[in-house]
Amino acid sequence: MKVELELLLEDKPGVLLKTLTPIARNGGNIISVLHEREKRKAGHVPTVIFFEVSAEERIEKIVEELGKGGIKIKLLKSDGKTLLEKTSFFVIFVGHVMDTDARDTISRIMKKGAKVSRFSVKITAKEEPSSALLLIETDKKNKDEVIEELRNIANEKNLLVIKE
Amino acid sequence: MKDVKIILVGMGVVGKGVAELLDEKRDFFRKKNFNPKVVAIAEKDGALIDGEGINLKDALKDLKKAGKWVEEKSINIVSGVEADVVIEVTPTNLETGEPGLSHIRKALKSGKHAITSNKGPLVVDFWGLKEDAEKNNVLFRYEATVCAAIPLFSLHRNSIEANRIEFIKGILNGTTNYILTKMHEDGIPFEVALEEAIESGYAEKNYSYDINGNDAAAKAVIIANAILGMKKKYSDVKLTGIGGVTKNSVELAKDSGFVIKLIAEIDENKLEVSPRLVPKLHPLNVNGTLNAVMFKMDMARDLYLVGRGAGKRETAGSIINDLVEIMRDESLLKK
Repeated sequence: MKVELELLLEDKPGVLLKTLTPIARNGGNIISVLHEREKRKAGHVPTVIFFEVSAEERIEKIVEELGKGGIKIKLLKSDGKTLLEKTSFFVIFVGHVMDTDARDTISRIMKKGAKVSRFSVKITAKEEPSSALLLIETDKKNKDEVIEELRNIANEKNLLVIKE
Repeated sequence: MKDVKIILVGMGVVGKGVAELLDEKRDFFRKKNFNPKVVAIAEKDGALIDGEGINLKDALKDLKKAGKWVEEKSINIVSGVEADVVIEVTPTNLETGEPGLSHIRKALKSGKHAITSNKGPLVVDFWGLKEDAEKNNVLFRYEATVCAAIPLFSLHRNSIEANRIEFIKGILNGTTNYILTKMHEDGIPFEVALEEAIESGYAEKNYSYDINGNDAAAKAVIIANAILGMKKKYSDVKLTGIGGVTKNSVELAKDSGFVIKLIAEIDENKLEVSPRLVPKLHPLNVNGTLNAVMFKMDMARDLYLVGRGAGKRETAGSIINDLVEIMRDESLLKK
């Protein structure tokens, strides 16, 4: 089966090799590598790798090994069928973000299968509302569910949620 | 030269703007071979009537002294005075749509074309009014109701109708955009920005209608019905105003390359007005009192319109263009 793997690779020496090794180790025959350095954004280079493997289990193994190596997969297609698609978006909570248990807020988002990869807070005075900016990464198919959970959290904790 | 008889209902800011432009644009109308004649101007407590055409300069100076003033209800003027077009510009009431709704219904049912800048009647009964217009073989135009000078509805009718529209979103309220722009650019709290907006005349003394998003929500309902063919009511809008947007949140957004804007989003499954993060370089990031609307379509793809969404001249100008569209087809006018 033909596999298309879209990644955002850190622009550092050795990262591309670290990505290709698990593919080769699991019997993947690499057809082409598109490393678009001119589209570099926030230190990451969009990269697309096309390869062939004999069985679906091997794809799963490759994905698992890439994940362990800290490689972020954006899109994974096998014979044109989408197996995995990640998306990320920003959101701001306004209100008493810290006093309403920020740790609980994050863990509830993570329970929906999403990852909070950035959390920045601005606090002026204790009695005044604070604001928190979150960068959330999730499977594209789960995005609506994650957003629904953000709304629930905002309602329960009396926060204003500002989405992208 | 063909006479086009007009009844003007409402002589507030927009009504005066219409009267001024009808006077100012006489050469333009002459070139088009039309002679717009205002035969009645109706107000709350009576009306000025002149079948030969009211002198608009006099009417603008002192309405009651510009000719024959009768103490008659506006609704009776709309039905009783012979005319081609009724221009309805009374104040908006989002709950009842009145008095505009009755004025427009009466106009259409008595065989007159109707033009309005009043959101209330469209929010309350768009489909009823559309049906009244079709049954009576007259036109109903409302370009000025949403984003004053931005031609959304005529653009849709004339230029992009064959597209499948995936969604429409945008900034539909200038007051809130002015406040959010000030907060972003000057780093000031909401209350200070609001104060500045009031001082500069960009916010009304009774500003809650804008700040709470009611105005943008009403416009979103009109877009949903009139462009997307939906059957939506005001209560269907998921609405969050900008009162909760703080200096902190604006700074956090700014640090990550975003601006906070009050965005209306309308599609098959969504009717929402809320503060949103817009990337700094996105075409919807327009400043000050400007409005911006994005259409996402299957053929034309992304289309952006930016312009002035309020103001006497801008709103009245939109009404004048609706009038021109009606005049263009002479068969629609009375012999």
